[in-house]
Parts: sequence; C-alpha cells; structure tokens
Amino acid sequence: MSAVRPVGGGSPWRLSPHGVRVVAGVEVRRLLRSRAWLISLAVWCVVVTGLTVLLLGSVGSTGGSLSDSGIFLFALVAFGVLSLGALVAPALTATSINGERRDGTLATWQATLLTPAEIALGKLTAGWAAAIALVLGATPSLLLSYFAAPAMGVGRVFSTLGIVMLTLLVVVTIGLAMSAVVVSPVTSTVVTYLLVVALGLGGPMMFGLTVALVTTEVEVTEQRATRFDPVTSRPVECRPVTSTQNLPRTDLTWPLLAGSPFVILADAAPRLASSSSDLTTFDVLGGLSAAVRQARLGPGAGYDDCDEAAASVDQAARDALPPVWGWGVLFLLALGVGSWLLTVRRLVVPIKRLSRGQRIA
Amino acid sequence: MSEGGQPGIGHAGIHVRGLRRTFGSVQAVAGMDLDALPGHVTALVGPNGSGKTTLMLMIAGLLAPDDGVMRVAGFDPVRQTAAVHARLGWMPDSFGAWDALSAREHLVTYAAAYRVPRHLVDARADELLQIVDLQAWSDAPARVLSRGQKQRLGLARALIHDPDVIVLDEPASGLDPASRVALRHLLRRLAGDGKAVLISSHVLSDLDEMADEAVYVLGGRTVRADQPAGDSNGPGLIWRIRSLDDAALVAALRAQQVLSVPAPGGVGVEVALAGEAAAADLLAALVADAVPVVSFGPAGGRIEQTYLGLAAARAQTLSMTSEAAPPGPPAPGAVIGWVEEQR
Repeated sequence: MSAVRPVGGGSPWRLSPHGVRVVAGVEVRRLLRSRAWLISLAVWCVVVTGLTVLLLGSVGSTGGSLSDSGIFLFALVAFGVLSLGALVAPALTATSINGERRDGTLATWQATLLTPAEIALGKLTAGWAAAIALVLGATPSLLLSYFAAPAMGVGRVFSTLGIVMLTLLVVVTIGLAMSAVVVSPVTSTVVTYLLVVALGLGGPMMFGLTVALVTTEVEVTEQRATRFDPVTSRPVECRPVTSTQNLPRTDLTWPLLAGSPFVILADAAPRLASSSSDLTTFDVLGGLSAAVRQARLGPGAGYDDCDEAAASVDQAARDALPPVWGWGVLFLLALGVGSWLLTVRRLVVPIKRLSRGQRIA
Repeated sequence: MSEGGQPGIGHAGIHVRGLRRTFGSVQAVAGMDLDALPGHVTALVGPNGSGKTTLMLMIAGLLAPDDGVMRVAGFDPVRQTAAVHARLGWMPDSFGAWDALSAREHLVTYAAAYRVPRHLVDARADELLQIVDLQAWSDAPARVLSRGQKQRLGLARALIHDPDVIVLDEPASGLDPASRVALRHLLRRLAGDGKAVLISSHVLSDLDEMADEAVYVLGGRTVRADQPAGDSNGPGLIWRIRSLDDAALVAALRAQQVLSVPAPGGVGVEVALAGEAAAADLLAALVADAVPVVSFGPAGGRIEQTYLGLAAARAQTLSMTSEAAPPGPPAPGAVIGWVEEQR
C-alpha cells in the first residue's frame, strides 16, 4: 500500500476536515442506530409540542385573550424549551469520552493518525447535530405560540431559536470536556448537570446573595418635582436634589446576571413591534431585559420626575439602555472554546500523568 | 548493552532500553530491555501484572515512559508519535468495538483514520476480513460477534494500514483452536514479509511454535531473552516420561532416587530435573535398566520450561529476601498460582 506516512511527531492541534469527518461519521451512525436516542427525540418533540398546545388551550378556554397573553405564553414556552433542552443536552456527550475509555474504543482511536483535536471536534460535531435536532423539534412550539400573538413580531422566534441553540451547543461542549476530565461516566454526567444548573441559575442566585455585600452609601442626584400641573397633577418643573443613599452597586455585580442563558434569551429578544401598553404588561422577556440593563447602570442614574420615560421600567426606558446579551454570548462562546481546548488536552498521547482509576486501553 | 546505547538502535523493529514507568507508588515497568527484529516473531512472556501491557502501551505511543529509550521502526514513540502510529499495528488485550457498527464499517473507518488511500480501502478490508475469517459476519453489527470474533476483528484492525511493526497484546485469548492455528500461520507469514512482530500470550505452546525469540518479564523487568529452539543450557524443570510398563518405570526412577508424580491426564509420569544434562543422564539410566520408554521430553514447550524455571528461581529469591523485597514484583504465591493455572 502506498499511504503517505508522516515522519514527524504531528501536532495534537492539527485539524483536517477528513479527520473530523471520520470521527463524526462513527458518532452520527451510532446515534442514528440507537433506538434509545430516536425514541428520546420523538418523546422530546411530543412533550414540548404537547405542553405548548395545552398551555395555549388553557388560556383560550378560560376566556382570556390569546393575543395579549400570547406574549407571556411565548416567554413561558421559550424558557421552557431552554430549560428542557439544557436538561436533555448533557446526556448527548457527558459520557462520550470516558465511556469509550471504559469500552476500550478510545485508545484504538488514539493509536491512529487522528489528532486529539480531530477526535474532540468530530465528537462535538455529532453532539451538536443532535442538539440541533432537539432545537428543530422545539421549533413548532415556538411558532405555535408566536401565532397566538403575532403582534410581538417574528424576530423573537429567531432570537430565541438562536440563543437556545447556542446554549445547547455550549452545554454539549461542557459535557464532552467533563467526559474527558472525569474518569467515571456517572460522575461526569452529574458534574455536567451541576454545571448546567450553575450556568443557568448560579449567576442570578449569586447576584441576589451579593446585593447586601455591595450595598454602600452612594451620592445620588435626582430631579425632584417642585411644581405640579394643577389639572393633571403631573410634575412640570424639577430641580436637582443631591442626597446620600444606601444602594446596591449592581453595576459591579451585573456580569453575574449576564451569563445566564435565561437573561441572554430575554435581552436578545427584539423589542415589541407595537408599543401598546396592553402588550408590555405581559412582556416578561422585555421586563427581565430592562431590569438587567438597569442593574448594569447601577445606582448612579437617579430618578427624573419630569421625564416619565426614565422614571419607569417601560419600553422606551429599556430601549435607551445598552444591551447586555452580547456580553452573555461572548461568555458562552468563551466557555465553549475553553471546554474544547480542555478536551483536546486530555486526549493527547502519549499520556504522561494518569488519573486515579483511568484506563488507557 | 549500555543504557541508551546506539548499537542496534537503527533497526526497523522495536528497540527498548532501560524503560521505566510508575503509576503512583507502583513501579509497573522497572527496567526493560527488548529488541524485536524485523522478520522475527518475538514472544513476551510473564505473569499477570508483570508489566507486559504497560510496555506495549509505551511502545504504541499511548503512554509516556518515565525514563528509557525506545525506537519503533526507527522513530521515537514519545516525540514522533504520529510517525510511529503510521507504522505500528497495535492490538490491545481487549479490543473494544462499537456495537452499532459492522465489522466492515470498523475496518473502513480505521483505514480512513490511518489515511489509507481511499481507492485501496475496500480491497484491503475484504482481504483482512478473509484473513481473519469474518467474511460471513462482515455486515453484522459488532454486538452480535462473539469474544473470539471480536478478537479477530481487532487483529484485522491492527493490520489495516499494513504496518511494519506489529504489537499484539494477548491476541489468542478467546480464540478457538482453529483460529489459534490460523493466527500462528498469519504471524509467521507477516514475519516472513519482513515485519517485526511482538506478541504476548499465556498460551506458551503456541508461542513455542511461532516465536523466534522470547523475552521473559518478571516484576516489571525483562529478566532474560533467548531463542526458544536454540541454546541447550537453559534450566529444565518438569519432564514427562511415558513407558509401556509404568510399574517398571516408577521402580527404575525410585532406584535413581528421582521423585515422580503421575502426569496430568494419567498417561506417564512427571519428574523434576535440574537441567538438560540431568535429563540425558536419566534417560540413559532408564534405557540401561531396560525400561520400555516410548517418550521422554519436557512437559510443555521450551518457553514454558524456561519461564517456569525463572519464576521458580524468582520465588526462591523472594522467599529468601522477603523482608527486603521491592514492592513491585509479584508475590511468590502469584507465580505459583499462575503455574497451576497452566498445568
């Protein structure tokens, strides 16, 4: 045979489409031939779509207005799809590498000319494909709840799909890294679930717990009303009043919120097409987004009694504040890239240090 | 030969000098020297836990040694891992297979992973399926294959890229007798093609028939290397004697003050002798006594004899210096247990 044979060491980071395709091909075939996975996918589609239909039906049968509560329902479905997806996704990769170590198939991969980077990316590609199948399975739900309230604009469907997909891809990548780092498949699955919970809820919880720690005396200048319109009793004249108040410096701790996929999903949702206040009262995504954006600004910006827009958490105020979801997306991408790098490092042969209980072959 | 010595390092087989590897506090490989030459089948013999698998993992470029020199097909498995992988066929002691994929899919996948040119892959897979006699099972998912069939698939996998150096970790385990014979013929043929073959096995009679050289491993060290069929001053141990008249044989042995026990299986007797010279003397004495001897030979083959002799010597040394014994080597009991398993 006349295969081209390398003479050097070969970098573990070399990536070729060929190598990635070989690994992904095996993984995808294993998935497609796995009855358990196909059944899970079918169950996933039925459960997600069924829950959405039941939700929409319950609103319709209680006489509520679908187009008003539809916006609330959409937020519910979006968060539901994100949560359920993040619960299912770890199962796709969290035992991928240590499972193959246990079955004795990893070392025979590593003894070939495939590089660790190709093995890691090939496995990720298959995991990502499975995650994307989950997202596609949830798309009918999002579309259904969108059609219940088309007034909010179709942009929210796309932004939600995008953020859910990104989140699941990152979860799958974290799962793969844990399967490379942790020896026991059971432990790596548990660790991945803990990390996913920490990713979604850990930051916001830390944010809440640290409010007391970052509460300090802040000098605030507010525009206080000095004269009111006698008819409408609205303020017509204001003057600055400077006072010292005890306020939480959330401008220091807002990154704790920004990394949560729930916050990212809410903040990335486009503003409502209609600025009718009927709709905004139901706008969970918009409300959460505004709250996080204000937390980022911190207590420096005082109230202005004469400027209604700045005084209330409404649409205009929200639009005026800089978005935070870009930071969240960057954070997720960094997590994903870091996890992949960790995975590759743990696949490099020859192995120098062996973890306790780790088998090579 | 000096540690890391240059002589011999240039050959295209496996060259190992002064190899060491610890796992935590356990010294799995405590100094191994080995040469597996192209065109030769080299047997690696030793009890469980003596470091054979660890040595093979290091040769295959999967595990880094703490110390020592290795060359595989002229390349360093530590620094030139890809070059070694391209030229080495390694078969682990238990070959794992992906349950959902067929035997043929395994071979095609590994061929791609070794970058075998695409137009050669199908013919190569067919050829190997035929060599390991799996054509009838080539499209069945691996989950229906028996242990022995999986072993054969693992062997085919190790050969898919036509390697120059072949390292097989207990390839005979789980094989039926016919497959073992086929394996012997295959390895002889590969050696005949100029490939260097290193094989570990507990089926010592198989090794006797196919190995050109044998390397004995005890307690993480290579203790001796020799030619199974060659030199004549090795330590014999157990010899098996069969006679037309068992009573006369036993009486004659007693007269020679040689202890005998009935051979396993009830045919003939076995005696323990100091070496081949003692065996020759005993045979002459028996013939002189007109005992109708029909067969007189080592019980088990040459490799088994040498191995048991080394193991026994080792056990004796250990029992004499049990307090000062290093932690790595197997306890004497382990060796004796192994002996019983073989007999």
